[in-house]
Amino acid sequence: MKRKSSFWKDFKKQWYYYAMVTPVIILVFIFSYLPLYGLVIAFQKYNPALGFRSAWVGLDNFIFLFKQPNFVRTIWNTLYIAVLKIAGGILVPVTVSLLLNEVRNARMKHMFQTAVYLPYFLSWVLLAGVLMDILGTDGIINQTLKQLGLGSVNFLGNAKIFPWTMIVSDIWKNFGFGTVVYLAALTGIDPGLYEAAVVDGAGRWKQTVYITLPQLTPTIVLMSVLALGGVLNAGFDQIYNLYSPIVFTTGDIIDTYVYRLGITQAQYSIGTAVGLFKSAVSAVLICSSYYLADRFTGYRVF
Amino acid sequence: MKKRVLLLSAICLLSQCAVVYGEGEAEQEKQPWLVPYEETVEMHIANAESTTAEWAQEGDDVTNNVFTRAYKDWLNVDVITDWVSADYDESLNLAIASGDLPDVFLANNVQYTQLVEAGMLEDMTDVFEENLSDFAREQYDAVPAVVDAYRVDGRLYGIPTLYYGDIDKPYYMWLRKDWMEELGVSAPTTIDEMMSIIEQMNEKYGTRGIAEDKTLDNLLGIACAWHAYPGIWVEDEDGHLVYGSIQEEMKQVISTYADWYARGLINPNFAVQDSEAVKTDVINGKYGAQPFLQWWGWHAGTNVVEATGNNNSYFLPYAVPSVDENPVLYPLVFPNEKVLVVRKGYEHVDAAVKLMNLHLYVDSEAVKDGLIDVNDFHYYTTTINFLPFNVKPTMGDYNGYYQAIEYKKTGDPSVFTYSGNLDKCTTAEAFLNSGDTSGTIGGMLQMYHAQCAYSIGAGIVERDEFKRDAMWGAAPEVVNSYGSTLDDLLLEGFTLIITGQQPVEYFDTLVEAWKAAGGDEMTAAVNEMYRK
Repeated sequence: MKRKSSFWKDFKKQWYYYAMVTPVIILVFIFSYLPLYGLVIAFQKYNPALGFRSAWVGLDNFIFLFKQPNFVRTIWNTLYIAVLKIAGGILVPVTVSLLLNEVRNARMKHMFQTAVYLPYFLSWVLLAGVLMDILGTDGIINQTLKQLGLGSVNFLGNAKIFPWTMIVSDIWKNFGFGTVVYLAALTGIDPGLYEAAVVDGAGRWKQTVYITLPQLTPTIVLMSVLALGGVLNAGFDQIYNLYSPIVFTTGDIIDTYVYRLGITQAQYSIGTAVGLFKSAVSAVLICSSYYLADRFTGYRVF
Repeated sequence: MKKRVLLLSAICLLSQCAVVYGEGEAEQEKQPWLVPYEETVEMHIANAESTTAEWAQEGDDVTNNVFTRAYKDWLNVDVITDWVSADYDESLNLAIASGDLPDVFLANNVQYTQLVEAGMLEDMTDVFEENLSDFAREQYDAVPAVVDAYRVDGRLYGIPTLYYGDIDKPYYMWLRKDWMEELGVSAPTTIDEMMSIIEQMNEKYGTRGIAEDKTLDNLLGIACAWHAYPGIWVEDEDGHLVYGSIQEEMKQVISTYADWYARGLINPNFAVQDSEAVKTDVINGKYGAQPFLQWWGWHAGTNVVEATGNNNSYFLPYAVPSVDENPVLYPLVFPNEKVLVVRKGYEHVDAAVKLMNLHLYVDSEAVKDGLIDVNDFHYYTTTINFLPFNVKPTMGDYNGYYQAIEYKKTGDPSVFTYSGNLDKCTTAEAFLNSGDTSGTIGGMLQMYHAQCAYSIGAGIVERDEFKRDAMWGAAPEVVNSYGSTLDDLLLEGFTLIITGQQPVEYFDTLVEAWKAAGGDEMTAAVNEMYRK
């Protein structure tokens, strides 16, 4: 009773704040919550002519999906590629930004930063063509290898190597973005901490280990938690443009598989079922990683 | 332009006279359907987007162009475009879901079945029979099996928009002409001879064997030489329908390809290259052989000639020789993709049929009859593709081939029923006489050259050397539900065998995997639906 009255008291005092946030709430409701209703078609045999009144089939779509002999393989491939991409996508930019932070020459630093940031802006459709030329059996890399007498490597046609080609090229494409984020976090560290460390006799290495890294941890945790939500997205654009039947065993991911399963015949139900499955897994992962981050580093976003 | 408007209005007047005075005008006797409605008929349609159209007038677009004006001027039909979409099928699904359909539109085979089931279409059986022009009837009579596939309990709820005829469908082995001449070899009569030519090209010109990409489409296209029919359903001895890709003949084909691959007779990188990458290499002279359809000239031909600067460097098609004494039968999948349908409740169903007649008429005799100025004709041909009434003449290419022979003898351009074919022949002449490569050589290799694709294709049609897909019409639902995943499974396995990563015996494992993955279920469904 008391709480309610205090809410009304607050509301009277701050009604204009509520008024300002209302349109946003309405928009979010309409565009983010209302469409959730569409998830019912994951449990229906959807026929566009009948719309949401299509026949109800329960879990048939999910059962159909998991009965596919190659679907489980795609889950494993997806996790394998995505987890390594996430791990590399944290390690590489953190290292690079630590190194860049030590560069004295500001011009060099900026030039390097811009250079590594560039590929981030290119689409995979474009980059795939470039990569195919570079990594092909008569590409520049293989020609160099051959001239060094090392024999050629089939980066895109060997099922053992293909996932690594995907992981490395993806990290290469995206680490510029992470670097910018971590550099920004580095500039936010209180210089007083370093001065105190120097007074205590810490060298460059000790400063990095005991001040820079702990100070960076919240940003790293935040980036990891956000990235974990996408653990079932191993990068459709990239893989679809670079794979071929010969590397399906290790390179076929959930998204590419579902694309081939559903897109040719407009199978909305299967597509939605997969989407729902992925969202559910992602939600669990985000929640648990968030809990763990809170538990071990005491870091919370909210 | 003014002249044309005058001409058109004169014709409108004439045709009205014809109505009043009966059979007074010979011209109108020929086209009884070409009579304008007395009251303007309003018709709402939907269109796909066009990337090829050349607009005749300032301000023309998908919704307003030479055809919409022809509908109005010749038939007094006012066609209004409700929506235009680059993603037509998707947009139509939305329109179906919302129940807000255009009056007349194109549906694909899956949508057609759904719409018929939902009772959302007008019955067109009688209207179709009554309003068809003679010319249109000729096109439909050539392919009764296609029309029948759309009958539901004997009734027709839509009109298939057809295709360019069976002559379009066979794969040939295309071999580079100047190299064949330099090597002093003639047309191959056995597969061994064919491969020996390719081997010699590899040795002498450093080529990489057969141009193929990761889809294996080209090589699977010539599997019919072994009487294997990948990708279509065929009848076995007991009358059961079985999938061609998993039959014993196919194992033989794949093992032969594996042998070729090992001997360097197939592109060593085919497993990772897409068709564009392979095409670039074809243009750059890295191949002298490619199995392909009749349109190879449009695909790579003109570019090869330009890149080499040698007017003799194009490829010529050769029939793939059979492995035994039995003739090669060419696989034919159900060829019709789109159906013209009318929304339930729309009054002027006949107008849809008449507009379809009009499209075929434009494609054939409208220029000869003087309704279209020959200089304006290209506006029509480039605009025709995206409109729903675009029915393709199934006999167009076949007749065109014989008309081209006639034309070569007599030089008389009026032998052509389809003006598009005259274009093909005049660009071919320009190339052969003066080395002019500004036009394409596609038409030349398709129907003009003495050794053109249709010189082989016409014979195939006449002897009816086709193996028709036993799944003749829309696929059963379960087939659609697997998408391309079952074929991908086979493609993955074939690629592994051909590249030597798996032994030939792996084929049997693959077949079992295919069956377990849903192949058995699919086979049962196809048999239930199509077994006679």
